[in-house]
Amino acid sequence: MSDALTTVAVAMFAGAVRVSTPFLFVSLGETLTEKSGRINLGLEGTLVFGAMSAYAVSYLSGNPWVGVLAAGLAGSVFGMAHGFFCRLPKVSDIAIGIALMLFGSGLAFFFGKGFIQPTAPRLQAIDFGFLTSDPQLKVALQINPLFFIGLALAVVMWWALANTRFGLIVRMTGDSAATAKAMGVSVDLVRFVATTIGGFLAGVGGAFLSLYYPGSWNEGLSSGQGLMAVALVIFSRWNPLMCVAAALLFGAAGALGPALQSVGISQGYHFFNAAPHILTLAILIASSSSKRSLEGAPGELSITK
Amino acid sequence: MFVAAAAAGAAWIGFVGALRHARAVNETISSLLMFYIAVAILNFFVEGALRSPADPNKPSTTPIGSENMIGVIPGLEVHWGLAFGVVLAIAAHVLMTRTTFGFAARVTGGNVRAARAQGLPVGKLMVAACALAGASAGIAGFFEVAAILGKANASLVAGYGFTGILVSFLARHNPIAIPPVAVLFGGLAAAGGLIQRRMGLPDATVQVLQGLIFLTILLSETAYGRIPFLEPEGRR
Repeated sequence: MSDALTTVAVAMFAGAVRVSTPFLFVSLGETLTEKSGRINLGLEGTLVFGAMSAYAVSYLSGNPWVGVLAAGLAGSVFGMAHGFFCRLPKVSDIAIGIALMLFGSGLAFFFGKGFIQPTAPRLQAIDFGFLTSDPQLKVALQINPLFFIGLALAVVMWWALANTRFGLIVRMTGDSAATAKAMGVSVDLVRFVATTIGGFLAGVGGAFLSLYYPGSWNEGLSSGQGLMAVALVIFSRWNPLMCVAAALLFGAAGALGPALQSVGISQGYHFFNAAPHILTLAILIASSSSKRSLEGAPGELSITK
Repeated sequence: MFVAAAAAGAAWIGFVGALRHARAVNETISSLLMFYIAVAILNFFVEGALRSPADPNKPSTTPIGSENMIGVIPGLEVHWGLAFGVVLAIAAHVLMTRTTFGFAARVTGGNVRAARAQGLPVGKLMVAACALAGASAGIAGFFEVAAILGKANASLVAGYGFTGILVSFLARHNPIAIPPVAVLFGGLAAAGGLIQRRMGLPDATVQVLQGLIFLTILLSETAYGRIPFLEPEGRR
């Protein structure tokens, strides 16, 4: 019995590390965007398009890291588009987001048709297997460098939002556009920059999907990671460090189903697949209250008003 | 079947509304999560208890049988869902503009504090509106099963919900405008196969086109009242 338990625990740890990276990147990008007072629901499309361009560029250039960069740049173009469109008066950022989601994934499928067959060079994992002799853990400790970049980025963003001039300006724009204007800050410019960086990060998250895990490009590659990451941002209360925790939790819960299957429990398999969503919903219900508003919520954000 | 579909939809989204009211859970997120949970439940039944043994390749439920299917409108190749949708749109329009419920709901949507100050039952209104919205989505699913597929399987998960949100935005949240917009986008989606065959383009072309149209129309909102030439006579 304890053997089975260890297997499940190790599989969940491995799953958390492996699956969480795209969530981490997208939710970090979305955190920055939402902190500046806008919501970009189009990150799902950005993620898919990033995955496609990463795979294509990696295949054509032979270097996966060039692919990652290309995905980031493609993502920033989508971010720029969102940032630019939403500064026009009377344009809803939520609707533009959904439209860009359709447009982005459509465009990715359109251009990506030719790249479903060929195999592109993938990102190499860093092997921490020497730390242990356990064969299961050895596999689990194959960790992609992007995961560590994401971790570092979360810490940097957490520090920068709290302690730098740029962070202060972003938070001010998000909490009160009028104040920012009075201070002589261009609200549109700040949001444009924040959305662009958010798009870049979402693109990199997509690169992880196509170049590492699952590690191929096809039309069913993203199963709503971009959308879920937007939910995780609110779940983590707009705190970059909490984004890491939320992404890991989500990844671990997602690995629960396959892990239980590997030790022979396959009853209710589909419900274990929905475990991350059920878990997130349960925690949201437990941690919300109608008496107070969400802590850390940017005041200008359309969905929390 | 119709009642079951509407009731399930109403309960599903009504729950989201109730969460919003009782625990202030953000409805954007909870409904998104509920979507994934609903898909998991669908898969559970389709691949498990209700799976038809006759169809080994694609898991589906046992067909409901042609005697239980909804027919087409005589003289057209369109099933009754379209007519029902138009009736529902008119009903929604009457409900929102001509009844006290509609008025109270619009006040609540416009300003919750003002609605509370007027003594409106904000929570009940929210839950009721959510349940009605869920019921119409449930009815959409009913027609998809009863008029087109004849059984339930994973191809029900085709993103109708997300496109529906955009259709509502394009119709500027006006029920009367929804049928034409919906027909336009349904037509675009249905043209996918033809584009693929006739022009040799990938079927994603339709998605790109839809995205472009959505973007263009949403962006054109910004031009309202800004181009004097296009304003109606007398408002210039």
